[in-house]
Amino acid sequence: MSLYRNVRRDKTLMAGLVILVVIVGLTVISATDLRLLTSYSPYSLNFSASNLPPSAKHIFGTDQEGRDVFTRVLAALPVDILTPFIIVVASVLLGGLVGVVAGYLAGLVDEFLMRITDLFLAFPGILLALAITEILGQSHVSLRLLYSEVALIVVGWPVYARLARGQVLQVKNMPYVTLAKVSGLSRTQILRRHVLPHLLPLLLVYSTLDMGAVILNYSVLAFFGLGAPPPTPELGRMVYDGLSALPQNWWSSLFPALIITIIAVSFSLMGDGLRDALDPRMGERYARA
Amino acid sequence: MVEVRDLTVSYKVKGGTLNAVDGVSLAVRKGETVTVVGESGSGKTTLGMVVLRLINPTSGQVFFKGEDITRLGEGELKRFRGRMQLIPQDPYSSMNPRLRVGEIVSEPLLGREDREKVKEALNSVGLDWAVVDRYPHELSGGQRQRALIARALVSDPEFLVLDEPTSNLDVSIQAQILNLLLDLQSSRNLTYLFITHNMAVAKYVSDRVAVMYRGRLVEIGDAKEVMSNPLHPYTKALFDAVPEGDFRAKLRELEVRDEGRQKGCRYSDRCKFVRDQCRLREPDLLKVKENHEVACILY
Amino acid sequence: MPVLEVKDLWVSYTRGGIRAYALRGINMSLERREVMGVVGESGSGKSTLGHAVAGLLPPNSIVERGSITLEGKDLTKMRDLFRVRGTGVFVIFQDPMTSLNPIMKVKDQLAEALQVREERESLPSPFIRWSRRRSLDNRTEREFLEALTRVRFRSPQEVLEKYPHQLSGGERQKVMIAMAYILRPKVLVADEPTTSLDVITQAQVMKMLLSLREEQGTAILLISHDVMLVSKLSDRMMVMYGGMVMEEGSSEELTKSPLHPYTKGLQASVPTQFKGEGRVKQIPGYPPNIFSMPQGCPFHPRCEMAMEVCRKVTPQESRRGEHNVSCHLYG
Repeated sequence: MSLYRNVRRDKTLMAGLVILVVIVGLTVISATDLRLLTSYSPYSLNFSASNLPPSAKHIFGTDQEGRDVFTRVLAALPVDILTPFIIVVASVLLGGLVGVVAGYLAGLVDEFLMRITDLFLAFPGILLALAITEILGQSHVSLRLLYSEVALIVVGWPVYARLARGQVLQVKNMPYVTLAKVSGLSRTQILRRHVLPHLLPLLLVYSTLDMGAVILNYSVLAFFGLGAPPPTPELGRMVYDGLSALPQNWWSSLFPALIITIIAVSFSLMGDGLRDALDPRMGERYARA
Repeated sequence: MVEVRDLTVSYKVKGGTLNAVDGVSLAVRKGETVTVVGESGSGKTTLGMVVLRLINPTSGQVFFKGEDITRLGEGELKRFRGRMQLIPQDPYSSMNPRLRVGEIVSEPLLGREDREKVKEALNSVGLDWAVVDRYPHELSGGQRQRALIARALVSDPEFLVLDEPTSNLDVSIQAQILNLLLDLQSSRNLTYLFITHNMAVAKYVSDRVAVMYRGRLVEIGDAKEVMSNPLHPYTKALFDAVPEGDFRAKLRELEVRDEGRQKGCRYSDRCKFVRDQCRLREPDLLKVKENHEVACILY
Repeated sequence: MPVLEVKDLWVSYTRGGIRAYALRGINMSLERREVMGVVGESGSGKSTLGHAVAGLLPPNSIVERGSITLEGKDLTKMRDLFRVRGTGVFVIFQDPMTSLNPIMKVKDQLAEALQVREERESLPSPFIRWSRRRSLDNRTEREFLEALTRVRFRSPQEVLEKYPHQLSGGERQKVMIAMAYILRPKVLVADEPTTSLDVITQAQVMKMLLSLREEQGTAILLISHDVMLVSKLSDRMMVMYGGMVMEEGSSEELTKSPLHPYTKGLQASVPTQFKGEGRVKQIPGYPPNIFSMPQGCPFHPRCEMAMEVCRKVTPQESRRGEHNVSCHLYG
């Protein structure tokens, strides 16, 4: 049983990792020089080649404007990976800080910070993000990308605050923290030595899982045209643009959607695998039978 | 060495305050073991935590070597940290699973690298130097408790609070740890405040015994005196509950009574010898012999 | 005929691809109304035995060989083990918080127990079962109150409305015993039932277990690391070490004249002296982990009497007067 679980665990982690390495690799190359990967341009229109189905020449087919969908997907990767990454990192930093401060200082500070967190948590996330971007984005089209990032950070950080606070509260009351206090360790020393080492793996796991969700959320914003301003290709927007050509041209919206899904799933596989791999007491559970 | 005077710790609970420790005065002399016995909820662990200043008392004073440490802030307390140590109850949750044993044992040195100290401490509890690179989950319960004792020793403490140090250990390991603690006490002239609910353990380690019931000290005296001649009905009940003699017969006669919240003596609801006067006021500790005090109206 | 019979039971655990035996050929029988004490340290297999009897072995364990017979049915061969849990074998663990549902009132937990028993007794139609779940009629309420009164709750009416976290550890354990009163199991496995309780509460809980046995004839398998407690409460007891029974016999006999060096060692490790008046004898070393069990007799590395043969050959059980003992000194 346990052997089987280990293998399964490894498989999960490995599958996620392999897909991610491929995607990140493609992203990096695409960001440095797209021509290394494809001979088409993601921007130039070519109406003579519009609506071509997937073939050896255009493996994902072409869209209504005759652009190669595969090329556009590749070109979209940098924005579609980097933006969620920035959003998650910022959410972790902000939420983690708030959570640690609230959990560690407790009392009124905790009460205050957590009420604020609840306030943000109370709104349905994606709607809030849509509203923020919509209102701000109206006036400054060029800053839309920034606004949607801010919106998703606003929506994203409270979960990390809750998570961090919970973990801090739990660790804070462990007997080994009591022992550390008796030995005269200062608050910062206890924080560094006992609290943070328990928090960081948790945040890493959760943020990996969260990357998938944020990629989806960001695609939704992009779908509604609230992402990077055109003509920058974007997976979410491509799905939207392809919709008008349905059902004849199914490929120009299906393939970007598929790629979004694959990326999201691979992050979630990675997260699951990491969670098991980072648990130091793995296997100890049955040791005291 | 350590003294508490009229110590009270109260918590706010639904519908009033609860005195976890209620007007306890107690002195521990250098080199001796005072054992606090009582059931869960008697306040014995809270008392230990207050002495270490991990919990702030509501009223009363704590003295360490004659100095009043009751109102000292965390900064000033630094001077005393390390001179007082704690041996915890549960060796599993008392070790950070992410740290190696070496890091755990050297923690009280506060960053001073002192291999010799750690080596000496490990040696004195009968552990190999090799354990320093291990993680806690690789050690058995008995080894962990030894490591935690070594941890307490590296800062050269004079006073230890031992909070049920053997209650989570196997019987054969309990014996090892108790003998180790007694040896360390005599070789290093340590002073112990020993907290336990195990009467056999209490008997084996104590010079003096203090019996607590719901926050109050009800009996205190020399271990031999209290244990061979218990006076307070609660102390008697404690000894009657020990599995000894014809235990089945004892159990048949055991009366189960709930406690209530009433005026007067807090034990009166469960007491076999309760009289009308008991309900009037809470009895104070009274000296019945040179080395024996009891808080009961019968004496 | 014994209610419960365990014959040559071997149970293994697998971890990280390594298989290790937690139980190595256990034989045991339990009569109606009998208290069998099982004493051992961590890794002795005493809890595995309790779990096996209760059909609660973890998923990474396998019954390799042997049988557990409850009233003529072999539990190791049964597919629908849940049918005997509760009414056949009921378990009380050290921490009742893990056995009680934290979001159910005591009333509802007892109702569930009653429902289980009635289903087993009569197997009524699903509709009746459903309607019964809906209505707690007077009769059932009276049964609950009676069960709670038997375990000496002063105000059982109040207890019915409480959630597990509103009760103390001792009270939760009493609720578990009240559940046993309702379920009327043939065998009660009590796995360290009082280890986290203080002496007085422990005595109360034990008193109630003994009353349960008197009143309902329940056979009790009392598992504990506390030699003194077990030897005073059980009719017969077995001392386990490294997955084997080291010694077995009537508790009185075993306490008065233990044969196995391990039994002797265990008894001697309980302190009886005052401070400064002699030392308690200690068994050196630590109990072995099942994944690194020594060859031969599992106790030999800690045994004062160990001989050459102990290092190589696993001792067989032999009969000595009223005892069964597995030791080369008596083979």
